[in-house]
Amino acid sequence: MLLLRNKPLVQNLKSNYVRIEELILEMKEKGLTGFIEVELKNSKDILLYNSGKVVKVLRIDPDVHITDKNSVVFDLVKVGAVFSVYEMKENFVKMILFSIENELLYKNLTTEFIDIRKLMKKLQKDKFSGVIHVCHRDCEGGILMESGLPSESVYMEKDMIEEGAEALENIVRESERKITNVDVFTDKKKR
Amino acid sequence: MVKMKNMKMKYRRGNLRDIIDSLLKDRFTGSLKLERGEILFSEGKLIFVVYDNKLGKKNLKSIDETFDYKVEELENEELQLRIRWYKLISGIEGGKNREEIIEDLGIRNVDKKYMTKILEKEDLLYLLKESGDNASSKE
Repeated sequence: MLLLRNKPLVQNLKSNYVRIEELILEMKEKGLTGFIEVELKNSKDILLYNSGKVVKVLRIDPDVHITDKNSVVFDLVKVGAVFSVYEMKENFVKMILFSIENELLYKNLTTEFIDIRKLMKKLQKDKFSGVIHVCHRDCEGGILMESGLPSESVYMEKDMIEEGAEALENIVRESERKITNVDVFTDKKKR
Repeated sequence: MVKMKNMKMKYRRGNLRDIIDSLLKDRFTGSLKLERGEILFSEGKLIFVVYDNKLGKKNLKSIDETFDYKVEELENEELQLRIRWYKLISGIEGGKNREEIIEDLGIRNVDKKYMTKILEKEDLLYLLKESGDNASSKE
């Protein structure tokens, strides 16, 4: 999942010492777009925000589950919870939401058998809107598409995060260099 | 002329020369999208043309005088992303090509005389090819 941690607002605060609920209120007032991460002993909770509103709540253990806000709020005040807040562009929040909520056009395409450039060409021709998501053990990337053209791109490899044209180039190059998994999500929500 | 950012717009019909002139005059940054291609501008300069999946300004000649178009303002990052996209899918590798590097260096006309002078200066005259008068990428 493309959770970008390159713009931290708050990092590694322990619930033992900080009034987390005050901080959450502040993020709401500030109109946070990004996510709050709550690390627990065996799992992580993610509250995805757009303009100060919680748009999705996830639990990662390590599978990703959609959960409800109340269970996370309970986790926030648990002793030993570690709390971080990261800002992200709205388009990146949108990309995460697309990969959770939207209909898949193609699932588990592998670059062992497909040519990613041909796939891009086809999606352009079809005036596709949605997300192309690529994933490998060491790296992950996404291209947000609107009417067949890219409007945003991001690439992550370990601690390195790239955006825009450089990210796009890395997605293509790394997908050709390594056997990468490719999923394509449309802009339509799952029924 | 209506220019809107990130909004779905319907195609309009117009004269290519008039639209381009108007965008250049307005120091426009963004896209002039055609049914079969796209022309990109940065601060009033025409920087990129793709038409029928072919890249390059020379393709402007093949566009009819009147055509359907839509205009969209873009940030520089979006512009660069779009250019990289077209280059990647057309198989042109990222980074600058030879012509762009030569242009960046301020060497507009690389002829044999000029090249000989430079190589002589650097003690590298042995690198000069014996035949051909032009050292441009069209060689």
